[in-house]
Amino acid sequence: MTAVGARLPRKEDPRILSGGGRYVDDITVPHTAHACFVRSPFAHADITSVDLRRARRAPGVVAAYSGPESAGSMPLIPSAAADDSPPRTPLTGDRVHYVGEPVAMVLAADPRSALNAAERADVDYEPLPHVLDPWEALSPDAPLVHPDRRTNKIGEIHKVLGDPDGAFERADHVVSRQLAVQRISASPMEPRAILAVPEPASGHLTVYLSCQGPHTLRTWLAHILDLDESKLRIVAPDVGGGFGSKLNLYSDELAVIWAALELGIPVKWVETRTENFTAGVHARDQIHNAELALDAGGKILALRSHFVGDLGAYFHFFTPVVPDLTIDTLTGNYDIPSVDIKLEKVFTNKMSIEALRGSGRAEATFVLERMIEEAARELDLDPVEIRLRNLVAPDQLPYETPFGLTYTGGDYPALLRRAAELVGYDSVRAGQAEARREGRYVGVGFATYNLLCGFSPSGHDWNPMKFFPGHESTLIRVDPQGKAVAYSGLSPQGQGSDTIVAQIVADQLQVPFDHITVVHGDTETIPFGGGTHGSRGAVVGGHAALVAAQRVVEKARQVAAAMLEAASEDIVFADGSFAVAGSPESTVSWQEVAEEAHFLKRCGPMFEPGLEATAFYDPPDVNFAFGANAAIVEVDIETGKVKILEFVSVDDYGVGINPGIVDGQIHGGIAQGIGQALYEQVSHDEAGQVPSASFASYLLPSAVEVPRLTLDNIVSPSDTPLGVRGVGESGTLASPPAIANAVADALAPFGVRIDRTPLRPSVVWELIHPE
Amino acid sequence: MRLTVAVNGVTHRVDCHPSTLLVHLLREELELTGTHVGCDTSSCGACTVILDGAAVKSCTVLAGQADGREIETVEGFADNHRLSPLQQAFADHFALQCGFCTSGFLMAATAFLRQNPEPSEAEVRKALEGNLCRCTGYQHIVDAVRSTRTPGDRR
Repeated sequence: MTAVGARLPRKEDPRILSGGGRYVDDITVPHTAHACFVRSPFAHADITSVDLRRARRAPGVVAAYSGPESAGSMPLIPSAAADDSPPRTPLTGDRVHYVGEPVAMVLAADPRSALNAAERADVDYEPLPHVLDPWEALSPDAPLVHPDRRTNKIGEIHKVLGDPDGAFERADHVVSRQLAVQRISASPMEPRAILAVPEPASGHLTVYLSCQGPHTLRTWLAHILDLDESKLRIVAPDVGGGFGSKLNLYSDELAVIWAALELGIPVKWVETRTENFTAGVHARDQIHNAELALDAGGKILALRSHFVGDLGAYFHFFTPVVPDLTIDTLTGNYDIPSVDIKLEKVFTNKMSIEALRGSGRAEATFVLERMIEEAARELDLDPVEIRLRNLVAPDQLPYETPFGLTYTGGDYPALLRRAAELVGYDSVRAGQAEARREGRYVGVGFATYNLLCGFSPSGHDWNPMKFFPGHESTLIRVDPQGKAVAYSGLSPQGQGSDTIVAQIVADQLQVPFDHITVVHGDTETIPFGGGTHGSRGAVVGGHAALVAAQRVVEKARQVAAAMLEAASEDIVFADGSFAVAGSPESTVSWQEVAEEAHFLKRCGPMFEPGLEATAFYDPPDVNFAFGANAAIVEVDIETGKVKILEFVSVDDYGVGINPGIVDGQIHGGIAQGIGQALYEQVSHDEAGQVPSASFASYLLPSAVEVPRLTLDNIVSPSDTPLGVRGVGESGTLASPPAIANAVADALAPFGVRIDRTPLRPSVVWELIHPE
Repeated sequence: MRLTVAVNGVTHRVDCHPSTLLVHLLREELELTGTHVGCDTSSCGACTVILDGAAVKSCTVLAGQADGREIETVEGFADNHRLSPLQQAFADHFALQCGFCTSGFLMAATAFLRQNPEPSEAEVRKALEGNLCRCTGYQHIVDAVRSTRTPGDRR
């Protein structure tokens, strides 16, 4: 019985369940000053004056800083993904570019005093014309977000592969649609939080940060603030969700660190939810003009999409490359030989776009799967049948996409067939007809996904970011009792990677799961790692643990050989003990070897003492996971409300290390997809304000909106030692288009077109009642 | 203002500003950090505690309103380092991921199960509507709650 594959309980849980979680705001240090920010109420404005005198006189205030007053002493914050980042400072200098941009910061003895004092800050603005719509931003007379660049256009990527023009010429059918994926928010339940603790006497600095990758951020922080990386420690303690939004070093977080160093005292800041919606990064926000060329039989000949990515006002970590990911994933699991994809990236006066669970690929999946659904409708083909005619078949593997990605595994038609079977597709149409006779509008929708993940091999095109490693690390240290601590470079936010790392290591060391402890999230103790994002935990981090464990076993084998006076190649390691091949009575246990490795009472100076090994695993390639979703919805045409009646997900995540964790990842991804499909949108009013800046108006699905989800899997192991595929982002990809397709199906009698999400009641009602 | 609260069976006499919220009293004065703050509009439920038997969002209760009353928080459940039946069910069903919302769900579900020990799935979902979770998609939480007849009393 191996630990890998078993539904073992999570190591993380008992402590958190009993209230012992340690999130940043739970950590207290004596004499800490608490920060509160004064933020821009304008989308675009010049700061004409800042007066912090009243704020500084408020009770409990320690210090107050403004951008204009601190100009010159505050560092510039570069982007990891582009050299030509617009200048961004912790507190903005003389102009604001989006609502929520930090302008001033007040530090006080406690959070309430800081808030009271911040309200006394006096900032005058001269509003400037702003631009919020990405198409408008591209027009020559649009207000410029960064005038020195003379254009709002950041760049353009145009890929023409195969013969798209020829395909569109000879196509029997061309389907054209404009499709939009709205701007959404990651909304982790724990908002951002930071506690910076300087030691002025030694020049050391410890930063407790709710983040997804402390090592990368340590390098960036040292780079930005010109600090010794060796004197900088970043701790990511328990992190209450991230979903891509906590990979950054944000302006306000840097202001906190900067102030802590200036004053030589600890400074803490915990974001409010309202701030998270304006000053925390956003995601998605693409508009596609898409076209499919098809022959008479419904075979797709070419896909064209010219699309715009609204990136907001600044570059954060990944901002300028997030929509790039959409391009190469736009053909999904389908055999589409020719493509013409053009992306224009633009600045607008909004918060930046960043990574969010499934980023780039979720937009691609929505566009592709909506287009195929529309093609099925126009060609009067069954939506499952048109997909089966176009999915890459198992006998086409290995299959190279027009973009040069190579798919080697999976059975994409089988995944879709299974989803159709589980959702009861055979009987859906009869039920739909009957429901319509009763005045009920029921629809079924399908979508498949291809999750490009496991970011990313160093030096690979997918990893263009500066100071951003492709590898993952693990140090395994076995103690004299034979139990081990694994120090993993993964930096989870709830993914359960402590548990899966322990499962992998326990199997290799042939010890019980309980004998493995996993530590993460501290640059002081853990070898340099990449952190947790992009469905890389098992795919990259799991392999780092595997290789480190194999190295430990190899050392143990040498020690065992010496103890047994045999050659190491004759040593067999099985059932937790080492034996000489052919003489099974001659054995030493794992625990005996671990003890001997430390004290060398029998081997003497033959070995360097200790039993530990470090591995840095750089994956040879990116990883792919696949699946198919099916949804049945009912639309109340009186109110426009969409109810999900059934939801099925059939996934190929390769070898599942822990079924309970894998299912939870898929459930959570689908719930976010349901939010994107039906409820969530970061909205901006005409002034660039964000009226959706609370959970009262930005609606996360609750237990009532998320239905019981039916999961199944068809596993094809990946070409990696563990056979794993990514899973963290899987649920977010196909769920929005599956639901949108189901709504389109339900409303087919009304001839409505679904070209955007979220499909809130008001939106759906207006589709049904266009006048 | 001076007030007296019984938290997890222990009586505390504290002095706090009249504007202090119950959640801040618990987290900052009593150092019970298992109760979390996830929003500023009483929407997320991460701060849910049990006040005289009823689940309340402790960010909407003034500390003064809890004067003389009994409060249960997540720290009160584990008996002699053993998880309560509901806590154990959460572990058995993988009902938590990042864990930030978890204590709120435990408190809301505990108060609910004491009133309704054999709820339907729909009743559980309705009872937990005021608590948001961004990680789990709720299914494992619902399964954990439905598998628990007696959630556990404070120690």
